[in-house]
Amino acid sequence: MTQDDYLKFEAEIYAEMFQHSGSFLLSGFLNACLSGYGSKMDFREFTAEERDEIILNFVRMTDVLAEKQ
Amino acid sequence: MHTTPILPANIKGNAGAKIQTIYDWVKHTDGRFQSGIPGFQHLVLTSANADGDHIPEIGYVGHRSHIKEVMEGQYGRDVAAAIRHCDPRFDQAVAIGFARAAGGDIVSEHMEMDVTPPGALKPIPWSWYRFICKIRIGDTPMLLNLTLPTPDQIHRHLSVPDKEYRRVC
Repeated sequence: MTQDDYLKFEAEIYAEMFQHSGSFLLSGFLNACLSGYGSKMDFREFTAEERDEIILNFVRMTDVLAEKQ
Repeated sequence: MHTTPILPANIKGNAGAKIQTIYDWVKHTDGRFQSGIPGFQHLVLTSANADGDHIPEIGYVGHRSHIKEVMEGQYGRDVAAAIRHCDPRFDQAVAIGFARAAGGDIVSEHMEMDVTPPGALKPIPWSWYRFICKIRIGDTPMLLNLTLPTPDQIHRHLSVPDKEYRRVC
């Protein structure tokens, strides 16, 4: 599976999980999450630890939000 | 553990300013999540499924949250475990606040307990403020938690020399 295929597959899962509001909610959460890291804007500016932390938060939030869907 | 209700306006110092800011945001927005939520990096978000016996499932832990600092050992590696174990009712005492918030209350409290890490010669007083309220992310209710050390706690942490702190903790 190529990276594009993988991302498309993941996007379809999230779209099904959260229906119409999903992308807005998750992008809003990610924006809020990333804003806490100061002026860092580019993926490469984050340390490996910070990237792991962001992904972990995203996965946990997805789980909690999915409880109610 | 001693729990005392306190109005956000009566909380002193930096903690008071942060809690008042988030309290104002909740009042102004009716708790509807948006990307502009102030001090998001200091917050913890949990599920609103709070039964009063267990701490609800955690969704988000801000990378500058006090909870993260304690759990990662920035106050001594055994303190987090000691906090949880020194009072058998700790989890329940904490969980009750989340259950009240899930029921619609805005919880703003001063918490205090004595902690005795393994090998310590005497208990260490530990105190913090906590603010918990229900917010909505889309159609999903969640609980927002802002936990911050009291000025006394910060002073105690900063005033203990590293060498002594390592020996005790």
